[in-house]
Amino acid sequence: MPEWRDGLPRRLEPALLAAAITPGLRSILLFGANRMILDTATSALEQMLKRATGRDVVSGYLGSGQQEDDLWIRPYLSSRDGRLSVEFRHGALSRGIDETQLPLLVIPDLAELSLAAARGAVALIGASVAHLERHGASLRWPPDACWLAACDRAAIGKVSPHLLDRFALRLDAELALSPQDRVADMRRWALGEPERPHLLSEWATRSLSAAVAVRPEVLPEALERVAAVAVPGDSPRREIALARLAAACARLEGSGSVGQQHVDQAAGLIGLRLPGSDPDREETETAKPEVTDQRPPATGGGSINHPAGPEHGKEEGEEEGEANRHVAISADPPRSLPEQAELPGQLAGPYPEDHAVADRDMTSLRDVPARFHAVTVPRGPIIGVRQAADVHDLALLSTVLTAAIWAPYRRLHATGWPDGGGIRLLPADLRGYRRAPAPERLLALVIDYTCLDGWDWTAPLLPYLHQAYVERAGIVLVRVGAKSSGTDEKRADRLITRNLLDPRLDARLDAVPARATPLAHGLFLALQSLKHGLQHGAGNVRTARLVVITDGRGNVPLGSEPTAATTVGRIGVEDALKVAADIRAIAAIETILIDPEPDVYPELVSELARALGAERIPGRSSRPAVETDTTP
Amino acid sequence: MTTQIAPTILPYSLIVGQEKLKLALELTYVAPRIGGVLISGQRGTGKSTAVRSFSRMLHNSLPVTLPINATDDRVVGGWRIDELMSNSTLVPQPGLLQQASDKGLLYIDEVNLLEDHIVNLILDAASSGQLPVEREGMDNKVEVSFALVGTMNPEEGYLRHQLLDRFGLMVDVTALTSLEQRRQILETVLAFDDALARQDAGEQAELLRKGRLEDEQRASELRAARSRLHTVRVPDPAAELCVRIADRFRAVGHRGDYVMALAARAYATLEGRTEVTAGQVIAVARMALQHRRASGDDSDQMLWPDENDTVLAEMFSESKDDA
Repeated sequence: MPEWRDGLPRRLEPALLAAAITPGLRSILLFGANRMILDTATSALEQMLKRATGRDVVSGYLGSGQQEDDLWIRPYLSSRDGRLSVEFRHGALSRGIDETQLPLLVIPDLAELSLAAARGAVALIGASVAHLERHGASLRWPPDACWLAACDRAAIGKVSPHLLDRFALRLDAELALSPQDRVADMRRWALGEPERPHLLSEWATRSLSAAVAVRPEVLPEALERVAAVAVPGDSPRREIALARLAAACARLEGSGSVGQQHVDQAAGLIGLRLPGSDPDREETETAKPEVTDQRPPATGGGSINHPAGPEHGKEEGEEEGEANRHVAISADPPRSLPEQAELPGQLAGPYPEDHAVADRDMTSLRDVPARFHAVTVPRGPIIGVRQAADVHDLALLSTVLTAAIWAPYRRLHATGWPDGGGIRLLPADLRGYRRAPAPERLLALVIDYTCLDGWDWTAPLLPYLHQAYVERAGIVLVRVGAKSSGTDEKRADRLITRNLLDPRLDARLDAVPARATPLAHGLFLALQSLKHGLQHGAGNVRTARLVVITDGRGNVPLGSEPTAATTVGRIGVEDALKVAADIRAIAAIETILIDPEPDVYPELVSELARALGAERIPGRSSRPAVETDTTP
Repeated sequence: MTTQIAPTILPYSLIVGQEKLKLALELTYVAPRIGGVLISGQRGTGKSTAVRSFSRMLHNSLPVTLPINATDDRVVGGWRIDELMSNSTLVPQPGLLQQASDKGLLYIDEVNLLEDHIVNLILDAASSGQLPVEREGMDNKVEVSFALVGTMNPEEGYLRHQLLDRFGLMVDVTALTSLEQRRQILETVLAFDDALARQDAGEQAELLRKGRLEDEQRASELRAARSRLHTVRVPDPAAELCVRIADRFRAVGHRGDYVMALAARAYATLEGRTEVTAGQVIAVARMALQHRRASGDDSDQMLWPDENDTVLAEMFSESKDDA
């Protein structure tokens, strides 16, 4: 049978139902959900929440571009009685203030969520109270929004663990479709079959209605099982989420108590391996047919109406159509939920952040502080609006909005107000942009790949990379003598990135040496970047550090054309020294030359260090002394 | 535009474990001049819940809270925009710092995620005791005084030293590891979920009733301790021990000395003593000094290695020998 129904993987349905009836589980993270699955899950969840809470469900999307005002509350210009006025409208995060509405906040890609939205999510998910203190508004309400986010497992390292921890229910939504499913999908989406929203199965509808009133007792054995099954993490939220999910499973079954089997069911839903489970056995069980396809009990909701009764597991009723087939919870527990081995994400588990490589800023939920204050040209992206003391980098719309707020008062009390309405700007109305600071520091690396053989050049380089990370410095990587396809060996190449976390850097640093050493050209590229950063009028860089790794044996003259046959000799070295002197002439550069301590021509390194005005750091001998004789 | 919908908070007396966190909050209540507490800890350790429950227990209201979404007009204060727009009248709206001054406490959740310019506003007001409000024709200067309570997850970075120093005490919170306590947490959370569901259904929630009764009992004990604080003596040896400990741990400035003495006095009061002994000083020393130590690097990590506890134990023994 198909693995999904109406575009929703079948195994997600019981977990979404559990979230609908349990406020503490209404923060759901779907791993690997494509847009279609996310849309369908959203549609399903909307219906489930409406049935479970009786409130109108209002969906909103959170993406990568939203700022604080978009998300919380912002002023809008409107026209009333022919006059300009201002209205404040709530954003997605403060919509929950209206008790008749239940917000469903959907995040299509958690890894790309804007900073403002990520901070909002951290403040709201799982909190007992929400506060909004913006633009004169002072609001407080119980934040009961439901959150539904999608994220690829491969991108989980980009997300703050602090934010990830807020997501209680982790579900694997990756699905290898069978050919039949793909054909059905193709018909529905590509060949013009009418689209229809995901419809809850009859069983799901009945289970939901009944589960709302069920309050099972939690047995001690269930708590012990939770402690045994939960991944021991640093956050108790994981155990709490598992216990809540187990309780929800019991409620959906109509059971009067939460037992060990419900904990096991809950663990299966989120892909937690049970202690003592045998992977080989599970593999065998994968081949079992029909476990997920059970007919709903026909007697008025079946087990929901007979909590904990011995007839609870009975299967009755007539054969029903495809629309009513479901992933059963209410029947015999071991057969009622998806078998663990069915879950493709099981091996990865629900907490991939425990093993993911961090690919984010260390303080990814904080605004980056500016270290220098005499910045005359704003360069960073706009991240908000602030009251302005001058007309520099004005946020025009916000300025007009502020003036419009005051217009009615000023119209009444000021003299000489122009006829016909309009607004008047005063200095107090001025609003300027708040911008994320552009990199104020720069690390330029010139790496000569023809001198790296036989020693660990990364060890002496690492402290400078670490410092650049801490300072959020922009990076210029110039490769000299690196073999790469599509470029001439007699030219150096250059990569400029906003910071050290750019994934291209990692790939570029790992290079194979070529035959030529265009050191002069490499230094020239570095010189260009340093001058641009430090001396260009629009530049934001205040200090720069240049780290050069070379043995000084440049063998390609600076003027060498890519195709010209060049004479190897002293010219390449001389050109490199000339460019080095130009670099030395720039103020505000700290230059370091990491010396590979070559056996031949060591004097070239000294010459270059002098020309650069560089501090010379020994390369080979700075390694940890693993080979040194430690005998007393 | 002011709306206050009161949420139901877990009663303070139902919080499982976290004794140091509770002690720090109680000390700052018994001796308000301590100046508040910074609670730094792992995710999901109930930091925010503890602060809110504590405030609810003692004041029957949530603390004045400065959220990370706050704009400067709400922090400092200004005019009520709704009155301005609908009635064209100027009605002052006190900012959060002024409201906190009225109640004596400002709570900042996720304090390490606060924007820099908001931190500056708080620092200016906390250090000068004056809040100048100069906005759109308003030119007021308000006297403010409040204790700061902040919660933070150190995974997201640390605080500037100037702001750190404004917190009287600091406490590290870690997840409880004993099986028994973890089990108690699960029981409490599930029971609280159930109580909320019952409350929503209009039923009696026994757990909440019992928790509130216990809260009332604890609140009256704390109020009594607060009124008794000035009667508890700080003898010279105890005061000298505070100074010696601050010196030994290279505390920056002198605020650590007297916050330690004050916290020890509050602790002695809670224990029903008439004067402070070395035991109370040692018990609160880490809370008073952890965030005031000269770390010697730029990491700002506010670490407290185990060796420090050994040193404290040695100083405790020495003080007993001296006595």
